[in-house]
Amino acid sequence: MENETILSCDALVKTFGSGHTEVRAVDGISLQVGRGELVLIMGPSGSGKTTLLSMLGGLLRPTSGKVFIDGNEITQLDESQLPRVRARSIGFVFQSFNLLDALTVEENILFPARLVPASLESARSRATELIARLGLTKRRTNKPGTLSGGEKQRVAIARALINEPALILADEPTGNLDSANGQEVMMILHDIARDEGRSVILVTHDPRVEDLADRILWLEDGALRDRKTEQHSWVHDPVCHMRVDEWTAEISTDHEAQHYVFCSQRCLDRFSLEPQRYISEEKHTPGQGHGA
Amino acid sequence: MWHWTYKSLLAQPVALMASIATAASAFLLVMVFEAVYAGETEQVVAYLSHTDADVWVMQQGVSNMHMATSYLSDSKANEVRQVEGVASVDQILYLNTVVKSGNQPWFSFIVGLDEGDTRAGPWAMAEGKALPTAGEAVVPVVFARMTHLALGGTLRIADKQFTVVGLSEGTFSMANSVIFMARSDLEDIMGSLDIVSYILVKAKAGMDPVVLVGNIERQVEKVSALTTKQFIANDQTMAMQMGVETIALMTLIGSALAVLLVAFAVYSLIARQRRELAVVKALGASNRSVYLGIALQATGITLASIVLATVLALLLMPAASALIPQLTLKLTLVSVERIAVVGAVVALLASLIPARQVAQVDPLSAFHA
Repeated sequence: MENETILSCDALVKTFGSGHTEVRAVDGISLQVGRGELVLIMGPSGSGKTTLLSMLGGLLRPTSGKVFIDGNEITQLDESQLPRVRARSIGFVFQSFNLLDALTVEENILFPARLVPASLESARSRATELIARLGLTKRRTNKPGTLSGGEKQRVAIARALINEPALILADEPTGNLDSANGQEVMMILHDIARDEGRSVILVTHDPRVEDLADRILWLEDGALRDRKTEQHSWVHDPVCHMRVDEWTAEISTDHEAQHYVFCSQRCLDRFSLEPQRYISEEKHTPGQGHGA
Repeated sequence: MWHWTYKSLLAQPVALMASIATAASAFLLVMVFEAVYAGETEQVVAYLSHTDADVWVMQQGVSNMHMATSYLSDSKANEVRQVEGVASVDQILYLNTVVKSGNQPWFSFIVGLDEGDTRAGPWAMAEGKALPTAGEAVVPVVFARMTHLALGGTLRIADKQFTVVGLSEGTFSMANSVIFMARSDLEDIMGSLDIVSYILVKAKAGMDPVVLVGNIERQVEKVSALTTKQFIANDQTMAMQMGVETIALMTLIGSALAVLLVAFAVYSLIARQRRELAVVKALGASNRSVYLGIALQATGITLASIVLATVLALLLMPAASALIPQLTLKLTLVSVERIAVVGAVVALLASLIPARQVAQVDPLSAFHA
């Protein structure tokens, strides 16, 4: 089962602009992801991670190259056929959750099922299972506005799973979550791959998840490179004290001639509101320097 | 998709109500124009509709009353009376002219009545007597209120002064007000004696008015005869030709305004939902289903605004008629049906306008939301 290829892409290229302004955002990437595999795509800002994820999810047409999901080439499908593939075969998890504000938790989870004819009835019982499994039973009839960040992301994961897709694409799923919720979401995604045999591709800066991944791909300048483990420079987020790789961290700020890096935008926002509080806390916490 | 469309429409009740109220104001405008048109169409022939005649006889070649001139020798009335199938005849002298009360001029039908001619006189009175004698006039009560006339007051018609002795109901319209006076007075004004304008014929029981028209035209020389039904239709067409283009233009402007307002409401709705539209597209909703959802929202807003406009019209029109008595407003089922059809077109156009906007929402932007 593990050898079965769910996603593959071949010589995938995406260029933006033309002539002097041409940028090769993705430059000849070939990749295969097997059933039940959790693959991390990491890399600095502007390296092409989201562009690659968008092409794998049928949201962006490549300039050249092919993408296959479950053996079917999606790059040859026209615009009227792609939405059906997205609804049936791919589950999306976004950094900013992207829940539909007017719908309850249950209705949000069922939304993709309504896009696939004749799947709604069986989806209802599946939604109930997912709600229970992801600890959302008490929130079933709540609107997204009343949920915490962690709960929103769990709803988004349940929504991604409702049509039982072979492939889950997650873009910075822990980016807006605190440490505990981020860890919980990662464990859920890990279980989805391990227990349900779904392929999970995850774009992230979060170094905590490296241990959970089957494979880590390093994307830089539009191409996949080898990731050298010794290239870490671990420091601590001054807000949540989580370990952050300073070399790959995208969220950082300078304050009083010091450089601080953060695990998420949420921590940076908190820091920006009360920098002195976190700096003084850091001074009183032995062994947790910002390292920069 | 429908579920989300419906719920997202209701999720912003203030914005939704504002959209519905704005669009309803445009439909209300269209309804008022329609009501004015329907009211005037009916009112312009109110006099003809209320005379108890089966056939109208007039000068040869004349086919209506509004803005028309018809002269017949009054001996023609006797000739008509002899035609087989005629039960009785009445004759009126008629002039259309401007009547002045104070400084207020008003275009009017002047009807000269013979003594005791109840068939051609006013059919409902607010005050005073119905049949005027020499030097007297019966005027519409609306006209009297507008020009501050009361019983015993005076008004000038073609340089002759008349005393108001009666105020009639239902005889006023924007296009013509009917003023009654003695036929002898009207003969004086017109400078002709022994003439009539129209002969009103009552058919014997069982006599078909169409057959009677044929009998009269065969037996009486140099006259035209029409059934009352045909005569009213001709007059209505003639009278409304003068106002129908204005009303049609106003209806068109009101409808165009409704299209713009509903389109703007839908456009604003899409602008507010842009992030969510990108998300639903990314999750697998097709452009077609998203567009149908938007069309459904436009239809919902349009339907709700038509209902609101109809309710407002039914509530406000009696008050408007009381405040502006010269306006005859009539909201008919046909008008509401016509506005519903206009509304369907409005909803279609209003959802077409933002269709491109919907198509341009890039599902990829869900990653950057």
